[in-house]
Amino acid sequence: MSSTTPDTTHGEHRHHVQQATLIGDTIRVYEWGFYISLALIVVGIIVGFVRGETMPDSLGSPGHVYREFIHGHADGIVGVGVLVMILTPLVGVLALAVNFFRARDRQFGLLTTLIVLILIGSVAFSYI
Amino acid sequence: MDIDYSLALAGAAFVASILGSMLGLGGGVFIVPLFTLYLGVDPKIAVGASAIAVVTNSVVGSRRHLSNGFVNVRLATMMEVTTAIGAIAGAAVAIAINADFLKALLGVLLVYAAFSMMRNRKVVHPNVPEDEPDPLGLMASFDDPSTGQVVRYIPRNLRIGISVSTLAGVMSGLLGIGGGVIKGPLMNLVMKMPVKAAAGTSSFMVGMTALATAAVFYADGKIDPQVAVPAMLGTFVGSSYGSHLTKRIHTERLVILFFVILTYLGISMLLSAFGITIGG
Repeated sequence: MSSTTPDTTHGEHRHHVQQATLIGDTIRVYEWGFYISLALIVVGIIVGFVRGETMPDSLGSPGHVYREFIHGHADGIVGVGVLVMILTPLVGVLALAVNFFRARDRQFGLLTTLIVLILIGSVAFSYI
Repeated sequence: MDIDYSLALAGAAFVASILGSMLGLGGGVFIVPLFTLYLGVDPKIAVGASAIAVVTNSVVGSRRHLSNGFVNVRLATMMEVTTAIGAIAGAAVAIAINADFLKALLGVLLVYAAFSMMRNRKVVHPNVPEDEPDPLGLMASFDDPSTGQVVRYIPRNLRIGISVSTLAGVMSGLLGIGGGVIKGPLMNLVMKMPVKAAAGTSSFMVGMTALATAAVFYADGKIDPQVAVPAMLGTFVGSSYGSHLTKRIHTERLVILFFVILTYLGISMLLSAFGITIGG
């Protein structure tokens, strides 16, 4: 097993430091994902009320959401907010994979990369 | 958008995420029954909205669980590979099958969760020694704020854990729940993990699993912003508030309260699948 493998030889403190190094970026991604998503949804709802725009009964394709967002329409702004939230765990896991590799923990780096690929695949293949 | 209806959806998601975050179940297990039984949402739209709310709940909750050291990221990584594949398969099936079957399945799962939580409520695992062999490097520890003690554990029975977690992924895809209702008790009872580590690790995994589910429903046009957005907003507030509330309530009373709620919702869902409606 890798050098980051914890308590059995290196003690509690070292383990906590290693764990914090591994997950620090993931925590930051989750925090930013949360704030950006919440801000976009609240702004989208306000824009909708001010302009009297109604929400559709389906978000639409990513391309449609992007076009609506660029034109400043409420459904586009809300849609991007929803997509940011959906994609936040994906980016968080990607950050975890990078940190496993940085810590020279190849085995778990590869496993985490596999999860990222499965999740990207689930998004991509949904459109086929 | 009807404001009263949106507020009712957000309120239901708020209550669901408070209840869910208190025991690390995620809110999805409550959102689908509340939306379909009491607010007249189509089950497949409810499952899609629930998947989004579960991702939200996981993102909000995992920030805290990761910071507190409650998430065993190595274990989550090992278990999530097959769980995510299960979720994709489940979601693909869910879009094609009968909605009443989905309701009946969730009803059975809720009743199961109620009984497993009752059984779970007094289980405490002793700390493992620091020098215990740990070939996969899965040993983890955290400072328990409620006792001030360091809790150290090694997850056991990995094969059973990974197999059942894959099934939880399928259930997540089928029902829009995160699967925490299966993974939490699994990790605590079978894999011998402390409750907080089980809840934290499960909560972290649930976000990835529900992401796969949400993506499939999104691509199929089953994410209705008029339902999903109020669900997200209710969850934003509820999951934050729920974790604070948990500290003030006696755990065993909480479990008994949940037993009653889950059993009631489970039986309601089962009856609803056969065309019998109770309590609204």
